[in-house]
Amino acid sequence: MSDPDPRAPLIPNLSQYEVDFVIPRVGVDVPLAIDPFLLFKSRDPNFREWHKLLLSTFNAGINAVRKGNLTRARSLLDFPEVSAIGMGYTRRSKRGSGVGSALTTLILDTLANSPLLQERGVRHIEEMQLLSAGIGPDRISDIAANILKVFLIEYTQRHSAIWKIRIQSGVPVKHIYDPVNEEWRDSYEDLPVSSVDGSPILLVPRRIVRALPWINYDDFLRTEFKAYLGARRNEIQRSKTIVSDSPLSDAAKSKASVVSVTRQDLGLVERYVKAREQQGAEARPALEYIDEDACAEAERLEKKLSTIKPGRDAATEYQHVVLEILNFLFNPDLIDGQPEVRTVDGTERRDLIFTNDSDESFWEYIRQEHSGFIVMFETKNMDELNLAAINQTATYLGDRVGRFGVIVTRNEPPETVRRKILSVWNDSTPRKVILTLSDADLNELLNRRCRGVSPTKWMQARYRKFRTDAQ
Amino acid sequence: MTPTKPEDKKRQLRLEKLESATSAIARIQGDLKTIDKLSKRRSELASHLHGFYWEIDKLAKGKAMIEVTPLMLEQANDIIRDAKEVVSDDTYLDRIKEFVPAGNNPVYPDVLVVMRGVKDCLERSKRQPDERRKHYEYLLSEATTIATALRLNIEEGNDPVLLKEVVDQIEGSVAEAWFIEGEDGNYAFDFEDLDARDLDTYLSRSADNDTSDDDDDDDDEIEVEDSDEEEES
Repeated sequence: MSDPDPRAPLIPNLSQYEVDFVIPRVGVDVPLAIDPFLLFKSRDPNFREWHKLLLSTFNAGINAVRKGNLTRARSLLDFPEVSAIGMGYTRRSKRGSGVGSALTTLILDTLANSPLLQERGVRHIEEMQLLSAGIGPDRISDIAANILKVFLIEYTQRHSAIWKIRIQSGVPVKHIYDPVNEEWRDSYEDLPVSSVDGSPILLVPRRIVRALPWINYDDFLRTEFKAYLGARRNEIQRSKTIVSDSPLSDAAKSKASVVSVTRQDLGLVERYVKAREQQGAEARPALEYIDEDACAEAERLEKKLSTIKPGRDAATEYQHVVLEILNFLFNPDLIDGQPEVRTVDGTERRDLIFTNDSDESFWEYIRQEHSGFIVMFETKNMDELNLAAINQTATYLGDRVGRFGVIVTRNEPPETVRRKILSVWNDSTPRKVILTLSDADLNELLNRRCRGVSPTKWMQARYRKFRTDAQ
Repeated sequence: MTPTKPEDKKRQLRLEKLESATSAIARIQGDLKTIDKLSKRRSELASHLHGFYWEIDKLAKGKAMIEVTPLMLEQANDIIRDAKEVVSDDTYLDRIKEFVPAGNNPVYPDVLVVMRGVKDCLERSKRQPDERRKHYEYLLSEATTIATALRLNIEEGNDPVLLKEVVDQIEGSVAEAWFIEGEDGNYAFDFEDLDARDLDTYLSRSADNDTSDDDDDDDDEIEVEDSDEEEES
């Protein structure tokens, strides 16, 4: 029997397009890294909490160094590679070059050589790339994956349930950070495992991965450091100093020389980081790693939708296909799509709920104009949408899920329903918007996605038409 | 129960007509004030739009696909909203809707085209307040004539009420159409016509239902005026 293709997905029967997480590969790492900046800039309070934990843990390690408690520091700043996420830059295998103790030594050396850093701590753990010659983007991802492992486990379990990924009970997982007791622990968790070697699999949200972190060394070198060197050269030329032995002349040559400068002048790092924060809207999650054929996926989903008959019997199946389609169309703008979300008291059940963490102008407008941090999609597998469905959706919309909702149904709604939707808009304060998507609309959107045309622009046009009709 | 005499019944009917005419006078005077206000607003809006349009026209040059600023969008939407308030019954204005940014403001050429539409609409409607004012002024003269004739009849006992008697009582114009020529050559108020009419409905009729030769003349004038405007621009 031949060996499996190392690039094959480790979780079979799923398309990367239709799920919220990065699907690991059988024998190679996906060339991505967790980018903590995407957590920092997120509108999702959970993601922002993750970022806070990253910082507080790392800065607790720095604080231990400052206080001379190296044993505690070594324990806190211990970040072995998390191969379970299946991400990294090594070409040949899934085991990267990262060894926990080596990374710890690098971090401790950096701190030992930068009293200023000990005093200040970090605002972003990515700053360590600019202060240590041995720390690159993969190590930043390792640090994040270690500290966030407890969240990744919960995320993996939740999405395994949605996508019916086989879970194994009592899988040993090492080195999980316990934020309450501020220590690492080993545990047994219910997780999917690799069919190749039985190792645990941790799923990572697509929304938080990039090929390179937004704050990265190469960009720093091109921008802030280049400007710094230019200014220094001018200064030196003006004072006619011989520069051949200056560390600055070496700085452009090696990272070691650059970090020797940044450790002495943290202002360089601060200015660069501030600039990157200001440009934060441009920090988007990666999509390039998805090598599947978008048109084939669009065709597959269209076919799948057409085989589902309208009616209550196929309601669950319909809902699941709609989830796949919406992920294909709108991820990573609308993320963490979850079916069957119930309210706390269990009285209301919303079909599909997405978190609107988009940087696209339309979704940003929805977030601001209609408190649309959550976007609700109601799936109605019926031939003709009725007034009761509109009333139900209008009732769900409000402070908790925002005031923008979409009903996904099989056919164009009749005139009476369209009028009812307009009356919901006219009679509500603040206004509630309900849009509808039929099979024909979904097919049009799939077709646009296949052609590389933004489905979000189509939604924007549909929204504008609704608002114009309501005038 | 004492049977009502025909004279009493007639008097009662005319008292009711007098009340209708009196309340119509107050209402029509209010309508005339509203028309004046709308006319003033239309004129101010046209002036404001004139400046806004030419500024946008200048800015639009070479900015084909650039979005307008939020301030321009707000002003354009204000102009559309105001125009809809001051102009009624214009199919083309009805088709113009406020811009919905939805994350992206409209581009300069789109705003320019829509503002041109509103500008043309305001130009077309320039005479609309005048026509409406003329209609309401005539209604007011009718209501005043009727109320005066009724008072002379009920309070002074005049029967018939002659045109010259009414003219003596009224400062403004008299609706002569309400008088008919008698055998003696004098013009007397037509109470027969008045008694037969539902006065509330008659004095509430809109300008649209009030078809007269004057309206046709005005339409012609507006067309001529539009042509002039085109030449100017």
